[in-house]
Amino acid sequence: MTRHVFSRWSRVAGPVLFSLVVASSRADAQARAASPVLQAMKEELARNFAALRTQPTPAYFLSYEITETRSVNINSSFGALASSSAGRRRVLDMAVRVGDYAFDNTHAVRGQFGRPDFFGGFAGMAEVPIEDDAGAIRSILWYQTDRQYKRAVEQIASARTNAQVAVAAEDSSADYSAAPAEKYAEAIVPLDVDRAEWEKRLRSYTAPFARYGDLYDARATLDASVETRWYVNSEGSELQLSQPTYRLFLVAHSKADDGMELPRYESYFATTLTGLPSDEVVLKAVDKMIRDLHALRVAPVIDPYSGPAILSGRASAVFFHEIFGHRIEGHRQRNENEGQTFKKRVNDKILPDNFSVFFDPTLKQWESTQLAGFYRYDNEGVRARRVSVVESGVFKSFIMSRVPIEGFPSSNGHGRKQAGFSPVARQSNLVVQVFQPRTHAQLKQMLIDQVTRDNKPFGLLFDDIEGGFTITQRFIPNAFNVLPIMVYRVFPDGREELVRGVDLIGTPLTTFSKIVAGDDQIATFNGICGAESGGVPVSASSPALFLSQIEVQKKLKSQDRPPILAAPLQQSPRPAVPDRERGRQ
Amino acid sequence: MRPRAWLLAFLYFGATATGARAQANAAGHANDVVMQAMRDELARSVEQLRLDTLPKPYFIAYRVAESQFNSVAARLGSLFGRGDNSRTRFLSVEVHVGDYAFDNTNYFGAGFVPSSFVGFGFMPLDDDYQEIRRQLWIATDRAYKQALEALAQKRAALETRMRPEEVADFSREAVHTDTDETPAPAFNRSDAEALVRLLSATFRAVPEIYNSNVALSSGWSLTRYLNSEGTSFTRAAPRVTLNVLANTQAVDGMPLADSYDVAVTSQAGLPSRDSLLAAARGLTARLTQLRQVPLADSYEGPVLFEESAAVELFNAIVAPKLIATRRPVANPQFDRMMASATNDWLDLLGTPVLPRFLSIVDDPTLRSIDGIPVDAYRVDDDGVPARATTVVEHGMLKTLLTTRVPVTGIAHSTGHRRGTGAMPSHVVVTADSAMTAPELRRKLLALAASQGLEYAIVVRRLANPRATAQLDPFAMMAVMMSSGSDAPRVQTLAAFKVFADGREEPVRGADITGLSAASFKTIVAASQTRTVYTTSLMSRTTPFAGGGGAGLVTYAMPSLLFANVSLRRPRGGNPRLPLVSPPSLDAR
Repeated sequence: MTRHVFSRWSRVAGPVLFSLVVASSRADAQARAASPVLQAMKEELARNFAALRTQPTPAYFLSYEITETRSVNINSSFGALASSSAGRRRVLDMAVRVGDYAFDNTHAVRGQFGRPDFFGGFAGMAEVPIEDDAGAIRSILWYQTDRQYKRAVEQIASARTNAQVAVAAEDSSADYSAAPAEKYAEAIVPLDVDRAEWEKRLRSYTAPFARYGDLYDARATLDASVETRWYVNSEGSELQLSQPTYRLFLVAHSKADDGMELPRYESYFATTLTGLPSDEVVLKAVDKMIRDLHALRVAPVIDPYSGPAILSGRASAVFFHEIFGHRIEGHRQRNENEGQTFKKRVNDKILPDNFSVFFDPTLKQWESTQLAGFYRYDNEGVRARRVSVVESGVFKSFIMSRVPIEGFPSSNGHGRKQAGFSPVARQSNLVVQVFQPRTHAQLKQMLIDQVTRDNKPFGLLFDDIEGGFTITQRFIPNAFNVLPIMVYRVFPDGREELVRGVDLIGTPLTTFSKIVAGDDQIATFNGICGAESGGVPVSASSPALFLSQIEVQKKLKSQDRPPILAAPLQQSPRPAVPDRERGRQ
Repeated sequence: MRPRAWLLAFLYFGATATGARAQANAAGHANDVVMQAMRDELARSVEQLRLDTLPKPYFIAYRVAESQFNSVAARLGSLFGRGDNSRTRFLSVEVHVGDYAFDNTNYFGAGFVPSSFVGFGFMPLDDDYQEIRRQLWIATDRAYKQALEALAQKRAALETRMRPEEVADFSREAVHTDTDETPAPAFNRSDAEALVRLLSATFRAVPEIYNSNVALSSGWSLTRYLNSEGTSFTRAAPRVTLNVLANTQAVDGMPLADSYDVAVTSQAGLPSRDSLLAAARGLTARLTQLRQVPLADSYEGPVLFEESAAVELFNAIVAPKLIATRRPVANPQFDRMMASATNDWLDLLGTPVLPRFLSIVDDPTLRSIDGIPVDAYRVDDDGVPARATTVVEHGMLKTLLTTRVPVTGIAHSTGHRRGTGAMPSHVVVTADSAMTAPELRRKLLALAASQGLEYAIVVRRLANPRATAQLDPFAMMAVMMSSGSDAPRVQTLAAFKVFADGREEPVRGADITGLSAASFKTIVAASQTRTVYTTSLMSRTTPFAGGGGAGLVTYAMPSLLFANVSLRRPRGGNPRLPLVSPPSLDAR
């Protein structure tokens, strides 16, 4: 069972100014020359591929990817520094394919648990020195290629036997598709974070939480990183890509008297450090978090409910990512353990006429918000492109890695992974577009009308959410779960009341059929999406949606009461504290 | 008690705190902000912490481990990426409810969380009194609630079952105070980088070594401890390790891996550059020569384990038996699992476990052995003073190494808690009637002759599963699975046939089968000279059963002669040699 967790979403507040264009054009001149890393990879690939293609079980495809991650990570808790570190690492991933495109060593072995290559992806990962020393790099490439080739030979032998003994596969597509050779080198972006300065800023972001004894956890995190990837393959592709990411997270927890954990998250994404919000904006958000948590502590708990609802743009974006995005990842359509909800729905109408949905990794921003799912080439060396998945309500396409499925023989640039994993089809920037949108007021009126029509006591408005997860496999019911934080009930007279204690749940096709309308307020979530190929940055943008019916279930609840003793805030240190400490009181 | 009442006062406090944050590592225990916060929150908890009418804690301990860790590593003269000076402060809280005779500990069942996972948390790096108190408060509350629950579950489990060991749950120990705040030694990164570059570059000239790695890490920890009985300590522990790893395959495909490891207490204490270079070259020479050495034949007869081979054998088979493990009360479904985690030497107290001429003492307080500096401690993780403990005296088992968790027959701590359970630290094995090297060899050959054998076997190096594991994540699984067995798989790396005329012939890769702790009673002789050697011990007991973990142990041991050992030719296919020749490297 795979759980696809879509968490740590982040919102970008307001317009973000950034200067990436300026920064990269300055560095362009120096970077165009292929890095010595790329050169070493190219030479070692040619040497190994020439030898392995003439073996009795010939290799037909070989690729190397070295990912260098430079990072700074700083954490504060209630005004104090909790951790601060910086690092730089290089990791090697490779793909060795034996056989041919039609049938190779990755061919699914069906009906068997505990396949011998269970740790295959993991064992393929190796650390590479960070110095551009061709000899040391080539020696690791050689050593790992030999091991991976031997593993591939074992894999294809068992796949061939399995193909003979198992029933015919439902999808008889080839195992891999060819892709055009791509050459591209961009400037390696520097990572420049003033750690002392940011340690100070992060302390100040969590200091306000320390005033309250009913907040049990309050942290701020800065994750700054530049990921540089070098990719070469036996089809002739050579890529050098470098992408900066800056994230700021805030999290605080309280607890209701009945033990319910009450979290509140806030997060920001930018591609430059200056793109992150000002202290003033963050501290305002901190105040709001504190106010929300205190409101949640006394908010009434509601019972399981089914009825009409509005999902804010943020909630709708996550909802689309879970309910739809994960189900149209191409490789799931050939895995016979997967639910394959949309496999036979190409050219069927699945949404109202005025709805379109597309994935576009080439978008750097949508409306005024920077998008985390931007990239130029995917992890299989395929150029990123826009994929229109729903046009005027009609389902058109899956998002594809280089693993083909029936009717979709080639990649559309969505083969993605985290360093150390094997790529599969993953989401990029998801955009839900609604033509002839309603206003927010109209949407709310539609909700109230529906409540009245259905004779319900209230409808629900899902405003802020922490994330969600979905199950796409057949073993257990194919449901999704969106985890809301701020939920309001809307009474027929228009009054809104904050409530707590429920998660939004459902099954994909039924819930899709309940979507009625969208408004004109686009909101974007930037986050890290976790699935079998690791955590990848993605975004989802959507207007708020009105659904004629949704269902909520009770939230999982901690049985622990709030702490027995009051927070030790009112007690001042005893006189034994040294002078420099006493000065603080 | 609502926060609003004192809000204003605190605002002022919060504002100044940011500006005037004290530096870490206050000199002296009494002035230490962390210790002060621990004292104040402990006092409040002892006085006030109680849930309704349920019992108050009778024992609370706070442990804050502050550590700094630096490491550098290189391959073929080129540096790997590593994090910078990473500093952490880790808190663990222990709360006992009930009384010393019967409390919430030594229990395992559904809903159970090991005590080491309950009251833990990260403490701020800043000496921020209020934030440290807050973290202590939250962790104590959580640990107390869990302790209450565990005590209730434990009582319920005993409604239908017998208590496996009728001994107290926790021992009373004398109140003790100790202070050692030796500051963290400066880490000279450029020296460290130069050294790992230099050593790793030696492999550039040797294409027969397929994969290699040199790593140097420097760690320092300062533990602050305080308990409700009045015991407290601060304890600094520096540690510098250097590991040189290399692997290859024999010409028949057998994987060969070995390492050269050094553990000292400071960067300056590392062996000289020249002797390290010689060691790295020695490792290379050993592995490249081994590639051509013929496989061992099966053999039954006398075997002399020399130097590090004797230590590694003892470490794999006997060392885990030195540790006392308490069998916890468990729900029926876990009871069998718990039974297998116990140590059968507990039943052998007062009986012979080794030949009469051998004795074992563990003394954590030794600062050097045979002139080699080793890391020592004066108090263990419970604040119990460390001291020399005679575990085996003239072959008789006197005691096992314990923590404050008593076991049948051992009521008190021997001061050996390291981490979650007891661990040996400096194991000194002495032989009353030791032999010189020529005497030992004559004895070996005589034994072989008396059994009608053409030759005897000397083992100089055992196979090094840790070296294999560090270079190969797959092998790591196998190592983890085989540790914990009573007769772990042991293989020789470098062994020699010794003939009556003194001639030696190397053999490779024999499996040592059927050797258990009981086999050590059949040791017939030991050498006069002893080897001081540090290696890592994987304790066989799980943290769930209140036991150890992994840690470095230094041994001072003679070479050991066994009268009868079975060696078997290894079975199973080997991977093929690399299909593509290694890339040619420019020398550096």
